[in-house]
Formats: sequence, C-alpha cells, structure tokens
Amino acid sequence: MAAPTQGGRTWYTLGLLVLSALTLLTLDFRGFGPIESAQGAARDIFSPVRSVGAAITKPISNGFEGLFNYGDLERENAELRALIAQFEGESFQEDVDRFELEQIRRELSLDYLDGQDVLAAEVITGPVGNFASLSVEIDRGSSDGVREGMPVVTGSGLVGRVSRVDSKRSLVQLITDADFTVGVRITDRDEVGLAHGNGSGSPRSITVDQGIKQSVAVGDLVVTSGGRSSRFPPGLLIGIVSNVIPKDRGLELEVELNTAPAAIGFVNVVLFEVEEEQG
Amino acid sequence: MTINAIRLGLVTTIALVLQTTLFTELRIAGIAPELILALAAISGFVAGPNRGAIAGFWMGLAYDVVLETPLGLAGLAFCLVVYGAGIAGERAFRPTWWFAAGACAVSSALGVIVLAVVGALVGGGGVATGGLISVLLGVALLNALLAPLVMAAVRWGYGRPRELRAVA
Repeated sequence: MAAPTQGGRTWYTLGLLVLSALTLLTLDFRGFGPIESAQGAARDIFSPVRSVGAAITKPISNGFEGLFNYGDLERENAELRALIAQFEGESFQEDVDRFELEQIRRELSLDYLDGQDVLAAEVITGPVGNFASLSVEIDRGSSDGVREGMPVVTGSGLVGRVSRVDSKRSLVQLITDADFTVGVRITDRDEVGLAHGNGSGSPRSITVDQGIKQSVAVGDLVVTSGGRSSRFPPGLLIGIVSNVIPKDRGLELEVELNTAPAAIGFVNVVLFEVEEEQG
Repeated sequence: MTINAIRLGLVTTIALVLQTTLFTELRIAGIAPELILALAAISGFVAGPNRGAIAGFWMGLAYDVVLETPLGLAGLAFCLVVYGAGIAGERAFRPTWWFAAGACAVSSALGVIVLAVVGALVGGGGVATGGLISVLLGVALLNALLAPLVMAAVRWGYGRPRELRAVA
C-alpha cells in the first residue's frame, strides 16, 4: 500500500502548491501592498548581483552579437545612412517639405521640455524572456524621483511609460507592447483617437484604431492628446502616419515610429504625474 | 535537505542572472531560451514529482519576482510542468542525457503553453516575443540544447553529482 500513499502525498503537495500560486496571483492582481513591497525588496537585493552578472556576461553577448548579427548591423547601418541621406535630400527640396520639417522641429522641441523636468536614464537591459511585456529596464528608480506611469521619451518622441519602479531601477513598458495604449491626435486637429502597440512583430509601428474619423493623410504627425485623465502630457511626438485604412467606424491608422523603442540606449523620463482626482 | 536547498537556490540565482543578462541578448529569431523553465523541468526529472514540484514552484516565484510576470503565474505553471516531468522521469527506464534533453524540450513546450494560457486568462503575461507556436518550438529547442548543462547544475544542486535518478 506504499504506492497509493506516496501518490496521495504528491497529489496533496501539488494541490497545495497550485492553491498557493492561485492565492498569490489573486493578491498580486488586487495590488496587495505587502506582496508588492516584498517583490520590490527582492528585486533590490537581486539588483547588484545582476549588475555583476551583466558585467561578466557582456563580453559573451558582444561576441555573439558580432558573430551572428554582424550582417544585420551592417545592413542596419546602411539603411540608416540611406535614411539620413533621404531626409537630408528631401527636407530642402520643396517648400512644403520645408514647412513639414519646421513642424517636426517644433514638435521635437516639445512643450514638455520647457514645462516639465526630465531625468536622463540609461537602458540597462532589453526585454527579458518571452513572457514579460515588451519592456526595457533603466538605471533610475524611486530614489531618483521616478514614479509609476511617468512618460519616457527620446529626442525622437514617446517610447513608453514607467510600469514598475524599484529603488534603483525601473521598468519601462514600450509603446510597441500590445497592452500599451495612449490617447493621440493628429497635429493641428482636435479629434482624439486611441493608439496601441502591435507587439514584437511590429517593432517600429503602432496602430490607431479608435476615434479618428476625419480625413488623415500619410505623413501627418501623430502626437499625444493629453487631457485631464491622460497619463501623458499633450504634444509628445509619437510618429508619422504611414498608412490609412478606412473602416466601418472610422479610420485605422498605422503610425511609423521614428525609432525602434527596443533598440534605444538612453532615454528621458518626463517627471510628469497625473493628478489623482479627490474623493 | 538544507544544504540542497542552498545549492538549488544558488543554481536558481545564477540561472536568473543569466536569464536577465546574457539571454536578453542571445536570442535566436527573437526568441530567448527559458532557462528557469529548463531548470524546473530537469528538477522534476532528477528529484521526482514531489520534491521537483516544490522546487519548481519556488523557481517560478523567483522568475515572477525578477521578471515582470504576475506573482504566482510562473510558480503555478512550473509546478504543474515539473510534476509531469517528475512522473515521466520516474517511469523512464534508464534515463539518459538525450532522454533528459527530450523531456526538457517537451516540458518546456508544455510550460510555454501553460504560461501563455494562464497568462491570457489572468490578464497578465502572455507571449510577448512572437506567435505562440514559434515561441513554443524555439524555447523547446533552445532548452533542449541547454539541458545537459542544466542537468549537471541540478544534479549538483540535489547533491547527486554522478548518478541520474534511480529508475522506478
């Protein structure tokens, strides 16, 4: 009768583990404070270990990059050179292009840079594993004034928002993550739409599929809409409309980002916090 | 038991460091190996369903804490997968390296499915690096390649440096 006892014991153990996991999941989704604090503390303890590990493994990953992705790097460099040449050539050819360039420049010297403080940060790791959201980790945390929800930008525009803050590091959910949503508008228009990321399959584009009904042209600039309940200040550059698809309930816009957010090395955290409504 | 727990903790910590540093860069077609999942699966294979599931649960929690998955998601997925791997390991006649690699591949594929399905159900996690099938196949292949190294680490963790687990 030993086998049934052993079998029963293992089933009992498994059941207990499953129940524990489900309990933790429930508590986590309810935002149970002690659980979040414990996770943050564990990550803070693990952080220096990870930094040492990163320093040790960096030569290996560099070697791998050089060995297997050298062709990709060369191709990317060539594409970037071609893109720069194209921009340089096009931008001064016609008055219209010049006007658009001025618009881009105006958008790039974004209002938030005057009105909001920003904090420079370095991206220390890209997306980890295959299951976490598309995110990168930066070397600034709550001790630097970073708070959850703050927008993260580069000179090319919005790249994401802070989704988790530890004392020395923060996680930035990228704009291309499928769960990322942001209110947008076309520059010089009032109509507000909702954009979302397309996941890792589209590392340089997002889609606006709600709210835009007025005529939109390829090449129009897309910026954050801002607003009272928005997590983002108005006017942050997002990208350029690359495709307009008519749908039953309005227009679907494909928006090309100026840069691939997962490939960036440095970012600015905009120290912008949404004011919570009282009561 | 305590010594083994410390050793397994050390192995898990090293695996977490590798997962969050080296394997963020070493991706094949955008897919990274899931080292902790491989570690958990082989734990079941080496230590059996009962002890393996417990180890898998804790490894999963460590994965959840360090990565961004909801706490308990990987803990749930890993203990289920490890339990299956443990039963397979018990029933295997004279388990070998290639069997361990195959078991690791199958367990990893199942782990991917459980993580993706449970992640989708609870509204967090989910496959972020591509389609489920490609991630499933990619992780299974990469984890199978890593299986011999992981096996050696897990056997050291359980204080069994030479022998594979006894045949049932």
